[in-house]
Amino acid sequence: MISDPTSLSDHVTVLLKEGQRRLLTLAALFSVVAVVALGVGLLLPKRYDASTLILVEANNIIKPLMEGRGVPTSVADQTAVVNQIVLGRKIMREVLLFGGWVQPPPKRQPDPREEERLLKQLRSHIKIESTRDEMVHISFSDSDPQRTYKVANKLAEIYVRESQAGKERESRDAFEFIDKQVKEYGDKLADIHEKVLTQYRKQPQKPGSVDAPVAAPQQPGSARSKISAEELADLRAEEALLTTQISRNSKATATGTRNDLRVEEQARSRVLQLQGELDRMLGTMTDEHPDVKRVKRELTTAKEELARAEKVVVDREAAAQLASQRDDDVARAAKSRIEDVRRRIAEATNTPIRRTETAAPRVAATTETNDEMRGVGRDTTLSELLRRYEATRDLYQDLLKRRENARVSMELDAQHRGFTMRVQEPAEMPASASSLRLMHLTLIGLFLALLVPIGFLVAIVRFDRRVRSPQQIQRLVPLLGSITYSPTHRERSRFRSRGMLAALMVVGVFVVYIATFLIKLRTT
Amino acid sequence: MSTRRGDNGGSGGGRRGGGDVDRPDVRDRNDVDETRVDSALPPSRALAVRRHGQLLVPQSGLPQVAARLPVGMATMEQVDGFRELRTRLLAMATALDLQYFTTLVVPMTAGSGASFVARNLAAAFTLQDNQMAMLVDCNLRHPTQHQALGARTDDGGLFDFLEQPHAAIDQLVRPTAIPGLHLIPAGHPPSRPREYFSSPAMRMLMSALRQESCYVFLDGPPTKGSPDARILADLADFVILVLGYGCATTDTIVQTAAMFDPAKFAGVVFNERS
Repeated sequence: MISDPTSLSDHVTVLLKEGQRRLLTLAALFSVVAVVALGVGLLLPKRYDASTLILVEANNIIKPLMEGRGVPTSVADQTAVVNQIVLGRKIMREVLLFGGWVQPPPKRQPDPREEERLLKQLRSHIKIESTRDEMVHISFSDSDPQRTYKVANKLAEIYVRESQAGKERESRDAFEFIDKQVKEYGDKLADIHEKVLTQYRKQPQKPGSVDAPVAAPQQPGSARSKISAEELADLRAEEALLTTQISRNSKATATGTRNDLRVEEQARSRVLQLQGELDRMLGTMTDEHPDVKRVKRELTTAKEELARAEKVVVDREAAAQLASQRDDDVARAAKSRIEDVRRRIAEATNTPIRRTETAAPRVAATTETNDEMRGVGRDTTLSELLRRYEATRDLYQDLLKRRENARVSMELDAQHRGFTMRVQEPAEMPASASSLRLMHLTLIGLFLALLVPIGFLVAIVRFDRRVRSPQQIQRLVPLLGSITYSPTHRERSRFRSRGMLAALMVVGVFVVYIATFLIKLRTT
Repeated sequence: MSTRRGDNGGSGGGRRGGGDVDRPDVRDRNDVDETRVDSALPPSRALAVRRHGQLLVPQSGLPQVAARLPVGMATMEQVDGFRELRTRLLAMATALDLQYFTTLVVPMTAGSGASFVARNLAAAFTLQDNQMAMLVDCNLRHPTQHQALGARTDDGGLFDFLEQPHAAIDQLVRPTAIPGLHLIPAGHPPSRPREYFSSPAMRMLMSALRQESCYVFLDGPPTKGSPDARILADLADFVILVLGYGCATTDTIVQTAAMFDPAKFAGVVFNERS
């Protein structure tokens, strides 16, 4: 007697009994599932995958050389943007045309809904991944192997094209913006320069006044030699201002040139270093050695960079010269003015102070003071103009520098130097389908074919509450006994027939499977 | 060799009621059913089957017997099961101080195999020396015992008697191929529904059978859909409920068992053969 009616062995016994009773049903289930799985395996379209690897070289020699000049875009930012662009409608339409899903305009064009479906389907077959920061992996899957690899390569081409176009556009826009600003500030500077010159011209040629840059030489022994202590202080302040202005002009130009020269010097050092390294390597290695090749490549790049840096220096000097042409007049005027101021200071210091040593008539003194007061007023306007001039000139020079930086960035991108993308591994024709193969499908089908009848049996025993063993009732009602099942001869014959039929079904399934595989082998 | 009461001629109650009648011919003719395989007997002995006087299997051992059983009888493997049932029923009867008793065998549902159980259980009682069993086919709708035991029905049966109670009871009893086992077949089905089992004729028949020194087995109709099983239970000392494989749920079984008097309810027989 089984004490636990829900024991595993009891369940297994009931399962076996039930299986024996439903042998034909189970065999039929097995056969149907197995044959359906085989049919699905035969009819299911194959899927081919092709992938391409794009290498992004953002950390080449340009980066340190162009430190502070060119601004390379980060790969992560760039790839994220390009992903969106590539998967956008415009590019996807191009791919649809390329892949032959849509025919060129003379033929029938898909309606918007159909096109949307095609685009969605196409997008679902494209996978763009930025593995690490230097690689972009593009994969495409399709039912046609040839189209799969062609489209994958096309996608890679589009990706590179769009990346470079985007970067070029960005750099060009930046350069154009800064160039526009430079022009605006150049005009502004010219305007202020004109005003300063005008102001200088307005200065009267009188003693004690501020001379214009083109002012005539001072008359020696004039009344100008007689100045007050306050005027002397003003003169000294003006002298300091003019000195600073002149020195800043020369320094600004020198600084810009110095930076460019440093870059040029770095590039030259790099070339020399690489040349030395190459010479050393050639002593021990052949031309074909990978390291020699690499160094040669780097040397070529470094030489190009040196040439570019030299060009930048030349451009810088030309730009600075252009900028200084405007400054020249002002500088000349300032220099002339400072000479005059220094002369007057010298005179003043050698001449006794008027308050103590001169005894000019009161009226004349008053008139002179009024003139001087007017001169001071004019000096204030001039100083203001000069301050504005200085500020504008500083900005202009800064913008000039930035414009050169932008030009370098633009040229880097135009020549694909700053952000190089190349297809490292082009897609290849897929040799075999990546989807589940017929063998896998049929194995899964056979597994399911076994699982379904077993599941059917388990479900019957589990959910059908009818009593199938005496142990299920002996706790509820008195169990007098049980009559075991022992088939008679006739029943045995009947069961044998059913068993044969079930076996025939199962064998038939395997025959169909083997025949299918043989046919497939012959056709492939 | 012991003697047994009654004979397998089936010609009247006088002979059955006449007490001990020697039946040396039983073993001489090897006219035993496969159910008569008693562990007390050596396998080399007997155990050939004769049905309707035709020797089916000569004395050649158990496997051959098992291989050529008459339809509707238990296989050699099942005989022990019926002997176990018999032993339990006898133990119950002893507890109630009953020497002979009447047992109603009813199925939960049609197809549970109650007729098979009733027939083979009755046969199991005849395995005891000098013991007789009377099987009464009370299954109004699907009477099968006469076919299984090869009994004649042209002289009518239980329902003919219940329709016309003036007939002699002895004429109802038919001999079977199994020595000691007699059958009252169902007879011709009634043309109109009547409460046959609660009729005086039925009571009279049961009283007459009780007076005989034999074990009476009533093969009743299914409990589901008819009150006949319950009515017949009043006429029996024990009730056996036969449950076929996958024929009912536990709830139904409990409800059906509760229909019978617990003092009479012997228990459920689970029949995996159904």
